[in-house]
Amino acid sequence: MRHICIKHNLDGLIYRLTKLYIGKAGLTMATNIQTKVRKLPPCRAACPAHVNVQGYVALIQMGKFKEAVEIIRRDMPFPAICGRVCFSPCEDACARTNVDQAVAIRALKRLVADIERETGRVKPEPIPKKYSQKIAIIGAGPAGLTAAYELAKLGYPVTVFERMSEAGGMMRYCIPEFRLEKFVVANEIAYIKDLGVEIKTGVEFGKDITIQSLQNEGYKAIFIAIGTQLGMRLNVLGEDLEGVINAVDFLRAVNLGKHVEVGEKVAVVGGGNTAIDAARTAKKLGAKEVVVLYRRSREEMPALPHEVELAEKDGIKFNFLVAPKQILGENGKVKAIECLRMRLGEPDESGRRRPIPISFSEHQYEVDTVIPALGQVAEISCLPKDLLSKEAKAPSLKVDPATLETNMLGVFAGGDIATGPASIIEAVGAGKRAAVSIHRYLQGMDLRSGREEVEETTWVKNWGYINKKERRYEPPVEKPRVSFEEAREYLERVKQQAMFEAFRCLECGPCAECLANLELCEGDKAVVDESLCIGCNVCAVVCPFGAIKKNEKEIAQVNEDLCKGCGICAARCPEQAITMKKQPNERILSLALATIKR
Amino acid sequence: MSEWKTVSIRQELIKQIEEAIKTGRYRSISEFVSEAIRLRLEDLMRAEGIPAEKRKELLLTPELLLYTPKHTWAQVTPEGNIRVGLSDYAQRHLKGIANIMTEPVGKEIGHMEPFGVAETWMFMFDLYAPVSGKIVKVNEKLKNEPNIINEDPYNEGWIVEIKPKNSLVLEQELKKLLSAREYNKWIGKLEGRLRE
Repeated sequence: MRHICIKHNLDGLIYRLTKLYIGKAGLTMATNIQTKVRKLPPCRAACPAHVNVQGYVALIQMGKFKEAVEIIRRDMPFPAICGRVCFSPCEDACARTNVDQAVAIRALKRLVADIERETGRVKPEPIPKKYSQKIAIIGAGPAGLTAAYELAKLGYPVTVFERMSEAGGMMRYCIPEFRLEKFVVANEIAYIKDLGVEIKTGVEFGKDITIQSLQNEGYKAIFIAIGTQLGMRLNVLGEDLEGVINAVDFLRAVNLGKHVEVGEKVAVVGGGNTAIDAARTAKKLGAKEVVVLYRRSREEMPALPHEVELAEKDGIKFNFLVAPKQILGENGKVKAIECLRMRLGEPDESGRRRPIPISFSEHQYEVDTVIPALGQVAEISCLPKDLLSKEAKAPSLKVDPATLETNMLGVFAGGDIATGPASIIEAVGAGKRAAVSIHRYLQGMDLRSGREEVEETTWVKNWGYINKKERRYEPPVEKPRVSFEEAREYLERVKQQAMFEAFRCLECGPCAECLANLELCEGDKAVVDESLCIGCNVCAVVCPFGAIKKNEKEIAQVNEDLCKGCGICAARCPEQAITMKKQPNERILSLALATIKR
Repeated sequence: MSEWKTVSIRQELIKQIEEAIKTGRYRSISEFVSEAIRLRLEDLMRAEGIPAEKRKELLLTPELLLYTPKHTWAQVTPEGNIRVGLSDYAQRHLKGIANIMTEPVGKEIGHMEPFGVAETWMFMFDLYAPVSGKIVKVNEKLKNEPNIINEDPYNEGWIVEIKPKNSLVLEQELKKLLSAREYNKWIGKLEGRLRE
């Protein structure tokens, strides 16, 4: 509703100018946007998928939890998943960090998504097919599913092919249950299916289907999002011993429900999120001692600090500045891992300090299981040769970073396969970009022109003179165990807390584009329905510009020159006699210019 | 419980029933009526040739079950086990049900002790056993489709079957459980308390 914006933009004109500047407000896809740069609040600009954070936080402030989820769904299909496992770049960018602590954006997202599902499964209406060109998407991970979601919303018939028996990719098979529940993934995918996306599981790319066979079947565009499935090898002696299991294979086996045996003493090599997940999973499977070996120091660890803390709480030990030299075995089984101590040298191209081995510092850890978690590489054997880039280093697939085109016409690729292992939200961003590209390609539009460029904008800058306040907000991790009677009370309390948390948002960007009431948002000028007006004069009282007065017939009359289309009167009118009418952009511009001259 | 029908009874019959109530055979007229309907239904089903086991299942109506104050129901199966499920009241709180987790088959549980958890998107609800004994069967269907509980909490949505230790203990424990009427009163109380 318009009065959200009015809270900080009293002059409706500012709002409309930003709207003119950013193009048609609220459109997820950049297809219609003519302007070059989109100005967004810091949280939204920092998010790879540009999720409308300010919008849903504004709606939570008003207690509109359902609408808040819909706002998130405009930008991406996984509110509940990202609410659980996103690394939340939005919180790092939040302007509130200048004052105390960032607004708990991720926790709020999780909460609204959960509250929506708590009252039953959400079923969207299937979207009618507007276009006839068939689109094939290979890989039902976050990138592929997002592309399918966006294209289905546009009205394309989309088919997703997946090798495993269930869709979800790494979200389903590599994130352990205690971080992301399986039913959450299943539910989000069911939502995408309900929109009309067809997901075919158990179809292997390279064996059952190829690019050629898909094109022969009449698929006009193909999006390859197969991700990076193979764990990187340690490349040390003794890697093939029994008891060495790669983190990706280990997590996948556990998630598939297979029986995986871990020894009593487990060493995890690596410092990323996968390493932490593997260590925690091993601990939960019954390992007595789990140690994480990382070659740099704690500051350089790519894993989320929050996850590292949780792992430490689980009793996992960390050894920094050590790198494995070889794995020692006995009777073909792992007995110990020999490591070298490291020291940190000059920063390398990734900005982290390079570890340098210290000679003669070999030492051994007695372990019976070694889990290398050094990162992942793509299975390039299933890809046709001409798609691969000639340069030897990863990323292995050659794609245009802006449009995600490959050197084959009508074939696009994105997600981990193009960037190397990254996060869910980055894959979602890639999926969205691919959807725009595919739509433009199929409609014969230029893929590059007017491509959305995002710029951060905020009125909150340079808060250096303010003393930072201490505040630690820890969203609850564990689900509460309550009785049926207590649940309702608890829910109310949680909702209250969420609204308070949302009120901490500084609303530092331009329009939140929450679009809670399209009629008011799109309207630019108040029009009074004379038959409904009762002459109560409320509108004249609330109008901040004095544009409404009662005329001789005791009916409200709007002064067109003074009215700035803020919509307060329409929102306040007890008889709904005032509606907001649209004005052409030229009229808004001329009004704006007149104001500036004045 | 969804549809109510008026049943008219002959005056003489009412007198007979009242006498029967005095002797303690029935507690009320409505109890007699439901018993009569049940017998008539059983007759009809026998005529149709439905096997005895199936007949018992079909006759299972919420009024004939025993309940715990923690919203689980109990029913004696033909094999002598106790089938346990969640009541309609509980089901209304479990619209967002995501998972039913129970103790494995063979696990011993005590009277009114939790034997599993119903997980929704935001909460974990403990499920309490109406009787003590050993779990002998778990409803595997709920693993994949926990939503069955919402659709049919009294039949398809049963959760576990418990084999009681001995009949003496069982009888005592069953006596402690609530009848449908008492349970409805209890719910009314709970809801009233919530409204305050």
